[in-house]
Amino acid sequence: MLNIRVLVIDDSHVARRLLVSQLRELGFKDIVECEDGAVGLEKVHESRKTNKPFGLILTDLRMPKVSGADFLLMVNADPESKLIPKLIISVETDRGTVLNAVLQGADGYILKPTTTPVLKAKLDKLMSQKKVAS
Amino acid sequence: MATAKPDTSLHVENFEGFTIVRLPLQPRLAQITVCVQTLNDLAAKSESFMFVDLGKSVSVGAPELTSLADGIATLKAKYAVEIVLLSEPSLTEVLKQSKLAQVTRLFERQGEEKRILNTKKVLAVNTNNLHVRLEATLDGAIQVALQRWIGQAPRSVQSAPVAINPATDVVSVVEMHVDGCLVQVFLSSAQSTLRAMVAKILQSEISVSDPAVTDGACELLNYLTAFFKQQLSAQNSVVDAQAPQLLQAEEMMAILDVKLPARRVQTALGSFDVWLGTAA
Repeated sequence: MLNIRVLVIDDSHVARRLLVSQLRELGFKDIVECEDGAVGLEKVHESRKTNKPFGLILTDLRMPKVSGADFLLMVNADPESKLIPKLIISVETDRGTVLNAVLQGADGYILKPTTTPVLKAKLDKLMSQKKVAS
Repeated sequence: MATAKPDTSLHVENFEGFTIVRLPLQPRLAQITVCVQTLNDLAAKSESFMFVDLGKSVSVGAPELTSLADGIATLKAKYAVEIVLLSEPSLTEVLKQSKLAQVTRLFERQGEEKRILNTKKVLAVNTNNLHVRLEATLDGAIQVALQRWIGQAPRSVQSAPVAINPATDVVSVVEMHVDGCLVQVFLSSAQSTLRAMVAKILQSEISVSDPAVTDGACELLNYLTAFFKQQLSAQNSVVDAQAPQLLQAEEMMAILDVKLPARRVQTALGSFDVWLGTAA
């Protein structure tokens, strides 16, 4: 799991840097960051062209240009990218918002800011679910 | 053969903060729907409004409703509510948007001056009431947001007249529509405080020019908004929030040399100020 490429999308520098440092703490080395869903989509397309696909995507919901929910919708339109596990990390606690994110293809949801043990537990669960499904 | 008696009962339903009263009097009038702004929660704050009990259907006897105008007058007199008339397509639009501010704009387009005034009156009362509700939940939201953001509860939260220093302060704002009213939540903090807070979160020293310093204000406001939304949703309010933004220099001009009625939040790492703005 630690050798996979991870894409982190969040418009907040602080949230992004915190998340990246937590991922590094968990042993992830190849982490790509970007600030909104539009750039995130470009990164996903680029990764496929260069044959360096992402194995995990973590995205915020409320972002400028392309929101997290729209990003999920667009990225999941591609059958190959649909298989990448995707986790929402957001301050949104509204049930409808969470449900909508799940409907758009998120595999999990974490309320931010999160702690490293919580993130690890969620990622372990997510990866094992994806492994079983594939 | 007996003629079927027309249905003259008023069908009342509640939809996202609006009370919809349908008047199925005659075929011609069946297309007309009366949209009554919910005044339940305003009643306690306002002397000029009473409220309709939304949980129950109400009915008015046939003799009282010989015409739509009579029907409206009866409703106004009986329940002392502000009433606006919307045709069915307009009503659909309003319900879709579910924002009273848009009702106002709708009538501005139609040039119905009297009704604009009525709607604005309701909007103003609604805004004042909302402000009271927001103020009441502000301290709670600050407590939770700060605890989540830097893992510490505030040392104190006190009302204070605050003046902005554009040389040292970072000001961020988030715009929310709460039940159709525009609400702005402002957060202001000295760069040095934000730097200390962000350094604590990232567990590393950061420079003053690090974008994380200014971003920290937006991020803290992001958490604050989340808890506002949560608490307001628990009160059945419809909340739509934009992402927090830093206040630009020209926008800051409007609040310079003004004593802002803020909540001053003292933390172990410094203090920041939060205040609300509403626009009718």
